[in-house]
Amino acid sequence: MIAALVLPALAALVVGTVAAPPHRRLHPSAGARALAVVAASVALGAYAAATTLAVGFLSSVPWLSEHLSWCMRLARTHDDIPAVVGLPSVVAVAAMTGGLLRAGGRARQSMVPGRPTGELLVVDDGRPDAYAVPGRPGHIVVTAGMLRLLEPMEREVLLAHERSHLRHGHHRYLAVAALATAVVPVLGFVTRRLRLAVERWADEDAAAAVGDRELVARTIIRAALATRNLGAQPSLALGRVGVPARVEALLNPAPAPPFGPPSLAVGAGVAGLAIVAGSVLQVHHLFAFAAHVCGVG
Amino acid sequence: MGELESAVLAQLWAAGEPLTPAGVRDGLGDELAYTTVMTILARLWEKGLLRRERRGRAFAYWPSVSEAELAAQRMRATLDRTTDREKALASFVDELSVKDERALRRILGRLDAKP
Repeated sequence: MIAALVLPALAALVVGTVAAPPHRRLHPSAGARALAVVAASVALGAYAAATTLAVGFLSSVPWLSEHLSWCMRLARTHDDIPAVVGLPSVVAVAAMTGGLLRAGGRARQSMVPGRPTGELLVVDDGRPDAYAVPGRPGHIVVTAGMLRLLEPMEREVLLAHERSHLRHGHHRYLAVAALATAVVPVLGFVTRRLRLAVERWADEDAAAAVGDRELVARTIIRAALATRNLGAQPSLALGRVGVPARVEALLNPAPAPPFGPPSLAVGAGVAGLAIVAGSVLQVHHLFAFAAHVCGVG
Repeated sequence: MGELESAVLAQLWAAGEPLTPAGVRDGLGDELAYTTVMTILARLWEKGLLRRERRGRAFAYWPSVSEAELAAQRMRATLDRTTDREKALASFVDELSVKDERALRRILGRLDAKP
């Protein structure tokens, strides 16, 4: 039983680690979707496996077993969980839950008050800066300095790029990855790849909107060179693979369309991974639990 | 129409001086009808995003530091306070290493050298 729980979670983690390297022919939208599903699958699988092991272990503790008797009924076909597995599982569940709660608190903090009308909000500031603020409706916040820096067609690139972030809800992908990483910290690399994938996605949308890949590359370089001394976290930023990778991709031919064969192949692989990881959830437990709550079991 | 409004507003902020509808149209990459540009400018003015003064037979427009701009400032201040800004939103570009910067300057030079 322990193997049946741990192996799928481990397999999902290994596959997730090895898989989803950004490929030149793969449209970044397919890469982003795949990475989000990988992160969510691995986190759910790991959380479910640890919880099942922890509950199984705790139900063998004499005093607790009375209070967890309904669980024992569900788990009566299962083996006993030895303390060497059970105790770490209890600790892991506590750590994962703590990480999840902290991540949820951070997400609430970053909500922004005050939503004026209009898509574009210009801040009268000479330092070049631009980003998308998700919401209903979302906004594109740009400084006057950034607008003065760019030529007319480059401004169109910038707006098309940020519009893509808002239209496709890229912040949701990043939120999924952030929550998954809060549960399973080794998923941090998935978050980093996902961040690059959504930027590439917005770059490709901008290139389609203005019909010129080199123009998008130029705009990114000019904006990056102008904003290079703005951020407050250079140590964090140095590790990122942002602008150079994006520029290189734009100077290469366009990737396959979002729903072309490479994307579908990756989609099928990721769906398989999600099913393997999902098997840990053991849906029959949920049914048994529901039956218990309803007084049927 | 929302996208055109953004483009016109962006151009007026970039110009740094009052522009007439003809000036706005010249500065935009697209081929827009004069009346379309006029309509967009009038709408932005009604929303309080622009100020204007008569310049001969037309109006010259420039961006006003309006409610919207103040809201944008508040929004930015809030976002800058949150410790992990990149989680809430996506910046157009990240920080660069010295090596990246040199490589990007080379590429930019190559792109600029093309006709």
